[in-house]
Amino acid sequence: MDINKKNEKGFTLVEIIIAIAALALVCGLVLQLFILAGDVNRRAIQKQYAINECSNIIEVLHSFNSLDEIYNDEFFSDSIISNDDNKIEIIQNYHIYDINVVSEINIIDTNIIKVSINANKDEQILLETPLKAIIFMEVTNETP
Amino acid sequence: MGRRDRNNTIELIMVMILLIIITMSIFLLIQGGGQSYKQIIANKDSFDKARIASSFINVKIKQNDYSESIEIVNDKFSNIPAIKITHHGDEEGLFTYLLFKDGYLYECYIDEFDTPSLSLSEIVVKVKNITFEDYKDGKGIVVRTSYVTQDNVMELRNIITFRTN
Repeated sequence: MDINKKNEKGFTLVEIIIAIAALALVCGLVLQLFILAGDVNRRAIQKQYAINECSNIIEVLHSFNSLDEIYNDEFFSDSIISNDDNKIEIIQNYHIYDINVVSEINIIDTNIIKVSINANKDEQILLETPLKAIIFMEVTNETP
Repeated sequence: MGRRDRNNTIELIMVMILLIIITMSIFLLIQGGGQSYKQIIANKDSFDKARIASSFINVKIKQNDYSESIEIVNDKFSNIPAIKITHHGDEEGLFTYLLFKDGYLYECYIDEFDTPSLSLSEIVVKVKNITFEDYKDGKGIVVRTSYVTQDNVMELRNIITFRTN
């Protein structure tokens, strides 16, 4: 009789199953955090990659002496370039991360343009640069 | 053995089996999670180092972008391509060489009387690979820095154009 009473103090199978289910739920949530960390890191790398490519576009535009060079430059050879009055739109796709970069060039004067660049991934905006003015000029021989 | 005792024993065995199964599952899940987290950190580390190297070269070039101050040379470090930066102003007569060798980006800052060598160079950062190319006949330099992500070697291209010629 006493032995049976002692046994009744233990956990029942139902209690154990509930405890295990609760534990599994907590573990699932923790694992979700790992997945989230992976996604955040992937997106951060894509964003950094986009920043780098946007910077390259600005650098290449800076190297031009006039905007006409845009049509012959190797950097823009795989791009879709559309021209509308005082606006040029360049669409580039970077296959590595499937990032689309759209550069909008507003022609202010023959030698002044204003550029804004958007980078998108899966129709979500990765990056939007502020409007940047670029002045085309003949390369000078500057020495300090 | 009574019927009640037998039931208790079966219950105990079932609980033990369930506990073993769930413990093993949790262990495997946590181990997998830990591995993926390590992979995330390794990817991030590799990309960050590529970015640091690329950014370092970019800043060095921008800081010294004077007429005919920057060129790629192949004959100073036994056929290893290096960016040669000739300093001006207060640093007149001094040179900086940036080169990649054996997984490291080196900076060699010397005066005109020294011969550039790895022993006079300092390690900037450990990186997978770096290549330098001339951009449009001396209009700039293209720096390609490699990084590893999920066992794939990727490339970060950085175009640096000169404001002077």
